Amino acid sequence: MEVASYLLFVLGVLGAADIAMYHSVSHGIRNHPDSRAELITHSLRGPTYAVLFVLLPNFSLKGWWFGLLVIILIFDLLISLIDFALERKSRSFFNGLPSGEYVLHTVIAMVFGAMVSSVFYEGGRYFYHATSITYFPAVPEFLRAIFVVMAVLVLISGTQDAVAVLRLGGQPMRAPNAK
Amino acid sequence: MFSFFACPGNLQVLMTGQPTFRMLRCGDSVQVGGQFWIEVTTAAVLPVVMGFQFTQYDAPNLFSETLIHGPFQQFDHTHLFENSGGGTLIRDTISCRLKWPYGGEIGTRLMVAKSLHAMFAYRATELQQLAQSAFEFRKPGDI
Repeated sequence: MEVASYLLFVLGVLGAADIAMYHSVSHGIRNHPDSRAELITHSLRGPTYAVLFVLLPNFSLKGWWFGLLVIILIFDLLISLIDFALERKSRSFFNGLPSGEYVLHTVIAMVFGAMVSSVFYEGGRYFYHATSITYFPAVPEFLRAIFVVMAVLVLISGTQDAVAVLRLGGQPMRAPNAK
Repeated sequence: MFSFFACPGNLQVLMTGQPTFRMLRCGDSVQVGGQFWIEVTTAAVLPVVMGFQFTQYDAPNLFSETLIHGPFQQFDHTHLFENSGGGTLIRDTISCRLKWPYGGEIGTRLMVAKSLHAMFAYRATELQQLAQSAFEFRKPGDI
């Protein structure tokens, strides 16, 4: 899944920019009690993308392994939809999302759509094969090494989000309509 | 002059000509424990939200605030007001350091110090103009 892997890489870079720029520097949502629900969705995205960063560029997935990949993609889609639905109230104290974050989310959504299309275009036929997982590198070694680093980083980020959810648990909301 | 600063909303008045600055939330007056929240856009695309809490209030001499939300590990700001030759001399003392993932001490010196100096220079100019216009429009007999 060469094209899907490259698109996943772009998605990872854009996602990292979103976390670093807007979630952390701009709004500091890990210290914002109103963003607790949003942080739950982000914490779920950590392990989801760690699995994708390992599976997609390194393995050929057939049968129910391909089915598992589709389930992960559907799960990520659901996370994103819930995330979008929660963000308005999560950031209302800050007068909403920064314009740049809206733009970035739109680009990320488009790249995600392109990646899902590539997954089905390149590997959809494998769903009807016998269930197997085979080591089959789709992109150069240096890029797969970067994917491993990205998998570790996204896991750390997801863990930080989960820790923030617990830490912010007892704190009062800042915006009156944040619940 | 102190009463002008004792209304946190007047910070937006001072910064009117700076589109990178936005007052998000503030109370009607400075009081210990009170908060105000601002947004400063950096690098044209990155708005940074910062929340401050007032920690000291001694009218008409000084008041202080400290950062409670934002990218700084520490940000303490004290406003001192002194009588000087019939006018008021305002001294702003700031002690700040970015959180280490954002550059820490070095990042503060390289990225923040220059912007802070520029911002306070702008504030000083605006304040002088405001004070001058208030003086010019004052009617005879006004205190």
